[in-house]
Amino acid sequence: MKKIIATTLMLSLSFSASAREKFAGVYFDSSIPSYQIQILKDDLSYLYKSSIKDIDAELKPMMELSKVDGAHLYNWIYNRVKYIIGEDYRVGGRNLVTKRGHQFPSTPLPPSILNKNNQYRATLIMSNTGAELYLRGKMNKVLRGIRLDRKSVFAPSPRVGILQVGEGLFLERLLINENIESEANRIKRLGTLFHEARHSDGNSEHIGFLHSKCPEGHALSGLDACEPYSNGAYSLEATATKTLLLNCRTCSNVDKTKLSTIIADSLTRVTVRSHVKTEAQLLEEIATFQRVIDFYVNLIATNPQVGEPFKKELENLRARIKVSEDQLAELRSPVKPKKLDPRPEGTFKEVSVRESSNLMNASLSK
Amino acid sequence: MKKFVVSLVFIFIFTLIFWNLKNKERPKEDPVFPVKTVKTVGADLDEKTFSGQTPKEAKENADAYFEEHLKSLPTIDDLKNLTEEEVHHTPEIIKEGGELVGTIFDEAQKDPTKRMSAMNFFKKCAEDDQVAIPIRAVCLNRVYKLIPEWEIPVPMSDSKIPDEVLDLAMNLP
Repeated sequence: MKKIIATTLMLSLSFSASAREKFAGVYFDSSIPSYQIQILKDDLSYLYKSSIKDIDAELKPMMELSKVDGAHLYNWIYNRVKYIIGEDYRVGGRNLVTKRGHQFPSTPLPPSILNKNNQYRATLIMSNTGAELYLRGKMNKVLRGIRLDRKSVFAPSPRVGILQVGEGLFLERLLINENIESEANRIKRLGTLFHEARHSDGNSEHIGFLHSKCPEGHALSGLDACEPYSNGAYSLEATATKTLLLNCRTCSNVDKTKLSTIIADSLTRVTVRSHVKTEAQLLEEIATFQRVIDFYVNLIATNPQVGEPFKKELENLRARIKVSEDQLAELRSPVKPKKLDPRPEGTFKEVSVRESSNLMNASLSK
Repeated sequence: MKKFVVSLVFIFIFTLIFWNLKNKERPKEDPVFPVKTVKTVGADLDEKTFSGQTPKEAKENADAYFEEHLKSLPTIDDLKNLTEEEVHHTPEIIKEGGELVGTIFDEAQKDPTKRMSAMNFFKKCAEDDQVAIPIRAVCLNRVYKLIPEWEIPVPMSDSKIPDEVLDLAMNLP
């Protein structure tokens, strides 16, 4: 009897340490530690339940959403992320499965893919394995997939949605604050999830929205950590993080500043930023300058003795606002920024908001 | 004898009370930070009267204190030493820099006497061409957001702010 109890206890413990499970339609592999699964589940629940009032103007067109709310944002993720595997999962050996005879679309591959070796797998925080399997499969004309829960999951499209999460996503020193379950940390992890989910998009030369080498003069020059288009993974991460941050109810001043730094860092990777400002952004920029100008005008009017430095600053600010106004005029003329085509190629099923919401609600009610 | 001791104690207590009251009624000394209608960043440092220090020395000390903070910020050269894996997502040193800027902002938000110094820090951080671009952008964002809120004028050196930093700063929440 004692042996039975001991065995049952040991089995229970081993399952609680790492156990595969499905939540809101997303499969979490047993290679992910159970505490990480729980956090990711809570992150997805947080996103789904989010009350989004302030929205970054770029988000809706970038994600091609009809509406911005928790259900639509979760649906966007779910259409691109269906399987999550852990850092210890080895994409190779007996885990790798192949199938010959699959007909891939006869579209060209992204030009940079031939020069890349394990681009995604090299990333320890999170990586999009599904897009990599599809690209490698298409390159070698062999359908590739991985074994999950004794079943083969093939990648007939980058939209298969297999992500690999690393410990970096949960490490204390990489968190926004000490509380791993805080809203600020959830926003940070979700930003990374949106980034990786974007790699499930694209067709032809745009498959996977691959990063490219940062140009000369960039702080990360020579590293594959930039994108020369305005709707890629870094742009999307910045825009999604910004929207979630704008709606954060419990973020402290320090949290907000740290998350702003992440947004700024992501945007520095977009090497065509000067061409991608939206009308709303420019209007906000002009309004911000105007508030500062109003302050100085009032200051000079009430304190005539303040002298030249403030008058010169006022001139500078007026010059700045002029630049913004000129950019706005240019934007209103028919000049289109360079964007990649996010429509995915290959075989996949687009899940409706109702379907993904039903899956989430079923999991939440358990 | 007993009466004598009681009288002595009574006199002693009465003297203490009287001395205490007298001290309380002393006129207050000039405030360390005289109230002014207009101050520029760094101006308060000239007015501090640290014990045993001239205003110039006090300013130099304060500047040195900020220099130390500025030195902790990640630089462009720091980023160049990172590997591809470390830069795929926001590098740790950038997050640490953000934490430092956030902490300074938070302290000044809670304690208005620190706002001049904080603004001085943000200005120097935004104008420093060695500091990593995302950090400079966050600092500049703080400057422009806080000038009207804190009502502290901070003339920026236009030539020290590249368009990239300005564009980023304006795109932050």
